[in-house]
Amino acid sequence: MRTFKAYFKKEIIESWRQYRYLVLAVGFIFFAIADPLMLKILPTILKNQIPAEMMQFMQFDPVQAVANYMKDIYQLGNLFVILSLMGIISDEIGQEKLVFPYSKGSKSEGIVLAKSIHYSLTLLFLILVGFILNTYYVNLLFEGVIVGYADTLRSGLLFAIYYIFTISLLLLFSSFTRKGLVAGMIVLLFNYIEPVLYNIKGLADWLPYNLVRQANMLGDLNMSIAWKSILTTLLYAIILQALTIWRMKRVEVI
Amino acid sequence: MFADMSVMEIIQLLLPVLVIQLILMITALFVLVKAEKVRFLPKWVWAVIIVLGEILGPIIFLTVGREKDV
Repeated sequence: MRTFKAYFKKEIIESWRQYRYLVLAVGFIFFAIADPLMLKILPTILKNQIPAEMMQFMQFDPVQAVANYMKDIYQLGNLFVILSLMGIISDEIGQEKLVFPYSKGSKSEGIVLAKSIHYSLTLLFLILVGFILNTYYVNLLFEGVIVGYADTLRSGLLFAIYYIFTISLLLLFSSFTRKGLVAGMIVLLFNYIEPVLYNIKGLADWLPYNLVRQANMLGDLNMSIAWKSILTTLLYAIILQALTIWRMKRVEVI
Repeated sequence: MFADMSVMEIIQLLLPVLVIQLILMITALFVLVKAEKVRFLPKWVWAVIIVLGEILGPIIFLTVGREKDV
């Protein structure tokens, strides 16, 4: 518990110093505001460049606008999370920062859990704020059926669980390398392969990407299917973090 | 919608996005100027990326280009 508390505080200080909070906040909050605005302006910009009959496809309702935000935070959000957290453990191994805490008796369980819980809570907060802002702007700018905050927050929660899985993957791969970029590229590759694997029958329900698909359903979200995906993804995250702890007990600190 | 709006109203609508982008750009430029060393590219190339790279330019500099504090 002592290691957990110390590392949790260290992660907060380091996230400020390394501009991680700024990068993550921009990733989720900037697009929450910019997306509906761009979508609204788009028909005006393209008015003279595309045929009039095509213009009807450029009219969006609130539900489509929220879906567009979710598409962006899946693609760009992954990039922002991976870029800012790719050195989550590898930087400490590479810069030999673990020598002192290990020699003072710090537990690897505390280190891994502090990092995992800290960034999971940060992303949960930013994602929910992003979804609230996006819902506000979408309902303000677009005509049609109003999107409820409860629906978008539920989708936001699914996204947050998906990102807990991504953080766990980053923790694991980052513990195996001294170069954060290598860990980042592996996780990015895995995240881009997942939608392809999703097309394989029988595999879709077992992939964390299913949470993203479920989140996109908004009001039509089937919680019985979502629960299965939530529990499966959290189980994967626990397994990945257990493997990271196992790896951290064997890591060469010098 | 925008046809009925004045330039001032459109600016007000876009203001949060512009403010976020400006804060990010200024922060990244400040970090760049203060940094003794940067990674992968010369400082002036990073400055161009930060200024012209819209939202992604400053993010790429802060995550990839900045020399990490030890």
